[in-house]
Amino acid sequence: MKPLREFDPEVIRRLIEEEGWHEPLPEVRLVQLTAGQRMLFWGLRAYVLVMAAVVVWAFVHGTGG
Amino acid sequence: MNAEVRALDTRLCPECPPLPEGIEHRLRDRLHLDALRRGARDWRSRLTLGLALIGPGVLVMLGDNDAGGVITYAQTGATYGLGIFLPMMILLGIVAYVVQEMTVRLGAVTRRGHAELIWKRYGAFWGWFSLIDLVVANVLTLMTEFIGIRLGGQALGLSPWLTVPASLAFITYVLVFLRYWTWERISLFIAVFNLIFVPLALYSHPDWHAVTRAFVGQGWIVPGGFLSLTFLILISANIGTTIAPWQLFFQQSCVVDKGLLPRDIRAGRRDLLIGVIGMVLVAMALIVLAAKTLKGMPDAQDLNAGAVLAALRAKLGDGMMALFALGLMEAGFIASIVITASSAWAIGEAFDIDRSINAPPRRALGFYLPAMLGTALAAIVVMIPGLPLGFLNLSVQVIATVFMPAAMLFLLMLLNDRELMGEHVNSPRRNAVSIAIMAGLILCNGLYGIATLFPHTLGG
Repeated sequence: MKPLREFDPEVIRRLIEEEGWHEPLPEVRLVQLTAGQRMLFWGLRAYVLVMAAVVVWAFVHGTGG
Repeated sequence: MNAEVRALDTRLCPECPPLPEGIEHRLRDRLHLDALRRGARDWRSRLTLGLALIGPGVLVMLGDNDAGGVITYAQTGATYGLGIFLPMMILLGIVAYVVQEMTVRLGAVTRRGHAELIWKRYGAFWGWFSLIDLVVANVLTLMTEFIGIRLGGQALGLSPWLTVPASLAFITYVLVFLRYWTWERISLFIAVFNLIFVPLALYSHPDWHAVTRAFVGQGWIVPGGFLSLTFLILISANIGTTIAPWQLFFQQSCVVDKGLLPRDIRAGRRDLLIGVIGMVLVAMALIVLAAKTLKGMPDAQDLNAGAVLAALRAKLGDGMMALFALGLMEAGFIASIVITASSAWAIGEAFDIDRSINAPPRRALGFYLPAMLGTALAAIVVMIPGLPLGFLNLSVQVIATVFMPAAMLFLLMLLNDRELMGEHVNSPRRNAVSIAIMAGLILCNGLYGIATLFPHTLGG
């Protein structure tokens, strides 16, 4: 692949403007999770903890089926 | 990415507007693609363009066939032969495509990585949760990769004191000292060797009639039934080796670092599809190979790499065993490369530091160092003598399945966020399929949990 300096400056400028590399990315606004979403996440969090404990228990006891 | 802007070197482009710091390499990669798109329309040029657009999708899916996955597929074939798991690989491939395609869209449209979006959109509290999930799972998975490298190397007569440190050194070198494009090309070159298992399977002269019958529902013998602990463990492990949280973070950040845009989504999907096809082919090849050479071995579901290699040597000879060992090392190697990159990107995005593989180490030590430390920790752990390696592999695959629903929930929420995605939000059908996948994962894990804690409850 040829280095940047071997590209035509006009081509470089066109690409930058065409693809928007000079524009800052739109800001990502912080949003609050709804009560339902928080409950869902905490539920999944509890599920992960329980299942991780099960896997560790199975590992420790050599339960492989 | 550092938000400071500065003018591109005026010798390169006097008229260019100011750009974010460190964009030159990505710009060069985009100019290369642009030149290929505008160039000649002959088959050679189109092939070159196609190959240039390949990257994140192939890497994530072939990296998915990691050392742990190779052993999981071998255990599966050894336990259930040419049965239900063969056609199931196609289903899992479809599941992987559905899930991973969302990361392509998310990365190309937002130009931000997965960790960054979670952190900025939902806050540091949930950001930390997802980051810790990822890093813990990644370090555990990396252990299984280095186990594969170690055991594969030992089968070839190579000392683990050579193979493990050398692998760690290479992973460090390609990530830290090469730019994205070169890192991607080298990784793709390594990933292609994942396909070595296909000729191995052909060499084993499988019963093709039985292979065909498996795809039409015949020969699906499941000792102990579908609710047996063995079946539930292996199905969880197979799912866990097909879709895992690191893949979401990896592919999205890789899409961003490659500089893909909405106009490249179709190419990104094609790249992913090629990767999925490769992944499914290799998975099937391993199941077919194991069904032919390992079926009937005692405790087949607990086979470790050493037992697999010994059985292959006995059935197919030293040469084929050596090829398998090389394939096992390659699987561990490519997975280590991509998983380390996923950790680096996620940590860099979480702390909003310079986070591109294009960044030189002197400027982005905070990006490279934590990921390399995690990988080094995994490499060190597997050198500890007497480590119980056998069940560790399956446990890690199952843990990946456990973490997946939470990771997918964030993914779904982001893909339905019209403020972020605009016209590229998920369709209702895509949402329905994704939710069904999540529900399936939770059900599978739940059944595994019940069967583990209360062995006779499910009658298996």
